Amino acid sequence: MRRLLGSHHGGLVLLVLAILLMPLGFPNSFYFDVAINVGIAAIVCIGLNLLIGYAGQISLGHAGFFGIGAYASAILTSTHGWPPLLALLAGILLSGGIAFAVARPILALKGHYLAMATLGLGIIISIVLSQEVALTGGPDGMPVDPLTLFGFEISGTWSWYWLVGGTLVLVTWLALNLVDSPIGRALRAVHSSEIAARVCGVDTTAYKVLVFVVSAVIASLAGSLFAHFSGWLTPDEADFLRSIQFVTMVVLGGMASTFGAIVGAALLTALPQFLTVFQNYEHVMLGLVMVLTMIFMPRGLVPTLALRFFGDRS
Amino acid sequence: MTEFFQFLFSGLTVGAIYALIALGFSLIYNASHLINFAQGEFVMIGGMATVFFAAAGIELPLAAVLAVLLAVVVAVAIERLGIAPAKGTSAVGLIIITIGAAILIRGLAGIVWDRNFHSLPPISGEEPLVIMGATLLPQSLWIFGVTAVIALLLWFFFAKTLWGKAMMATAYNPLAAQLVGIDTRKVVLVSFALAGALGALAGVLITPLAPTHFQVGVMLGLKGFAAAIVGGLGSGLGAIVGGLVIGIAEAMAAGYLSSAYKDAVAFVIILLFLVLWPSGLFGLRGIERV
Amino acid sequence: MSLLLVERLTRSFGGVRAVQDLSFAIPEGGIHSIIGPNGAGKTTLFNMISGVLRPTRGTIRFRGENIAGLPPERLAARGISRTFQNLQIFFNMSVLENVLLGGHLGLDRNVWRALFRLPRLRAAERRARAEAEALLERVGLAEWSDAPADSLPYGALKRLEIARALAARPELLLLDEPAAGCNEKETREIETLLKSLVADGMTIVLVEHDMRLVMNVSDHIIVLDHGRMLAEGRAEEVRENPAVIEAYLGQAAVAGGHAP
Repeated sequence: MRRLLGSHHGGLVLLVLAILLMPLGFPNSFYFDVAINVGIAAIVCIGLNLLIGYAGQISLGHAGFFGIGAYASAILTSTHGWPPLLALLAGILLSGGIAFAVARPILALKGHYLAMATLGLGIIISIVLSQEVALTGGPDGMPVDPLTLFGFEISGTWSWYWLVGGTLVLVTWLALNLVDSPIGRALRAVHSSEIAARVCGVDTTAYKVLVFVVSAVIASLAGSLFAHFSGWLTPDEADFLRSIQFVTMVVLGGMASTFGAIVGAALLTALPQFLTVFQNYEHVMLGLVMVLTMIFMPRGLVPTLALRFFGDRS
Repeated sequence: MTEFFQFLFSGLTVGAIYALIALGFSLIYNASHLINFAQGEFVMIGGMATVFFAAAGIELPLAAVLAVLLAVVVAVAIERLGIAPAKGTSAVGLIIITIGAAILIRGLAGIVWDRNFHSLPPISGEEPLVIMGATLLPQSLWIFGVTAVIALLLWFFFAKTLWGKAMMATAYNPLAAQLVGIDTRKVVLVSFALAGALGALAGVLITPLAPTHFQVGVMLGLKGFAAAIVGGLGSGLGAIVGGLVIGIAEAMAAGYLSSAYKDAVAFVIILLFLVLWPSGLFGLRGIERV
Repeated sequence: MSLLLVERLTRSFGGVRAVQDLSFAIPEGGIHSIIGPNGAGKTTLFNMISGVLRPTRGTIRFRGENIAGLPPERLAARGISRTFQNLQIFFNMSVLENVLLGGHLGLDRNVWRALFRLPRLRAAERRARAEAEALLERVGLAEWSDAPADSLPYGALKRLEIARALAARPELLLLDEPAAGCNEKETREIETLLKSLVADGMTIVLVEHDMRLVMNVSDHIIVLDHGRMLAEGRAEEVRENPAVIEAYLGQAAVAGGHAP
């Protein structure tokens, strides 16, 4: 078990198995809906974890990129009749472009200042999305056309489940590869000691920009999928609280752990859905989880459990 | 010109509120180099608790005092239960803790109180003064007056009293302060209590002009933080000037440009400041920018 | 031509001049030690040569080109590596990964090949791992290869930093107190290592407080005091220089014979 989880692709095999086998236990389509939402959040968190967990740079504004992807897909397909795949790519270009444009000055900041800057960026994006009523329908939201890929319409929970599951596996695989490469090591070096990283020849600014853009692009991709899946989009998906939820998922699951990001996304997405008794308490629970995790499990769930059961320190 | 003064008055009013919130950020930052993202919730507590204490039949002035005390208790609880046990947590970890505390408080407020908008009667009626053709509400005068008095009190506290000096010493060099016998833990606690009181006071004062709601603390808190950074994090004078700058910029932008983007103004200003002038108007220490 | 030529180098902090008007030359090959009492400006000098600090004035020529003020990552690319007095190990990585990062500039840094883990990257990674293992062997850390860096004892971390710096295949290696905090045995191991590196043709600039190590290994010693050059020469010359004894060794005698 330990070797399976520890090896480069062992965890990936487990993830594929889980995605393949889980539907056997799903009693109704509600479970599929929840699983698809978990998958979408997990995709965002894997990207965000590269930024926060590996490179050590916080972002409190990534829902902004999620929102850009979602609205690019919604507006370009529904209002302008673009093919969904093209709209999705346009969203990625826009998110990546904005991320690239702001990354250099913003990521020169550290700690609280970086938190404030990314937060400001995210809030500006979400304000634009809710104020440009003619374009986005404003706070009431807008409808989104269904997703068609290569002439096939993705409809019904089964096809969405496989699409999101497949994308999640792909993104996980790419993230694992990246982490275990010279680039991934450079990112971790930036986290640990910027000055030592630079002395070793790592252009820290370039790597921070790279990982910021990569995480923004992944969030945008997930946003596009979400827009088509939900069929209706509101600016809430891009707001400050959503950004905070993504960060909490990463921190809860475990920073610098790709599978931790998935577990964190699964817990925080699924629990409120199943604990509907506590519907009013959703925010109370989110707040409690954030505070308690940081106090009692600052490393997050997956790394803490890995250490406990396998003595695995990595 | 009338228009200009109208915008200026409303900008100064809301700016003074931001200043009170920013002072809270700077107090806590000085004592513990921590950004308390729950600062806006003290403002919400100030307004909401006053409303609900008053609804329970308590006289308004007493209700306001109780609301401020409640915010102080909550602030101390955040420090004791959230921050103190997490000693040694990373900066990101502490940010998450205070944001978590904010969400928790907001959630509880929505349950214990309600999710509706509430207002309070102004302190001295609603008969406006007319200056240069623009109207100024008496409540605005109260806000200016209270903010000015608070600023003077804080100045006196930090410049003249032993306790204030101990807190300044802690801000400049916590280790040295500890060595000369200052109980830095108590300093942190007092700064949280003060920040809670300032936030709640801002909440009590602004509610007659802008209705309160369980989620009102999010934006107010973030704008107070923006004001603190514009003024220079940790600087008391900076917090006040920063608050007024953000308040006026917002009012002018809403008046002359577009009211839809009023809320975005503070964040655009903050991004410009962070990138171009990160130490702020009155910031003393340079910030780390390798 | 000198490998490193420092001319009229000055660095002030506020009004304090940590290094002033310092000029010296380091020829290619050999171990060149920079010594001096605490606050003499040794680490400031190192920080300027490695690009961590920008000089206030003066030039630093490396192979004839002025490199003063270039950022550390550019200097690394030109062949200057260093270690730190206060350890700067990447504690979030394994021992081997630390060394691999040291060789960062020699590795395949293409994003697409990394994302898809293409065969070319895999082959390059395998070669890099073999080289890193060899370096760990050389500094005596072979058995720690897969351990997390934060599980190593202090003395081993010192050697890990040297291995990491060597992984960049530098032409000039700057070592900032490699023996600080090490015991007798560890210090002797470092001495052996330094000598073997020089035998391979490397140029080493050493800042060290352990005088026995300095006297044993140095081909050339520069003595700094208050940011200025006090003396320069071979070990025995420096040891007998009255100004050095006055400013430095005398101070040590006052301090109770403890190595300054």
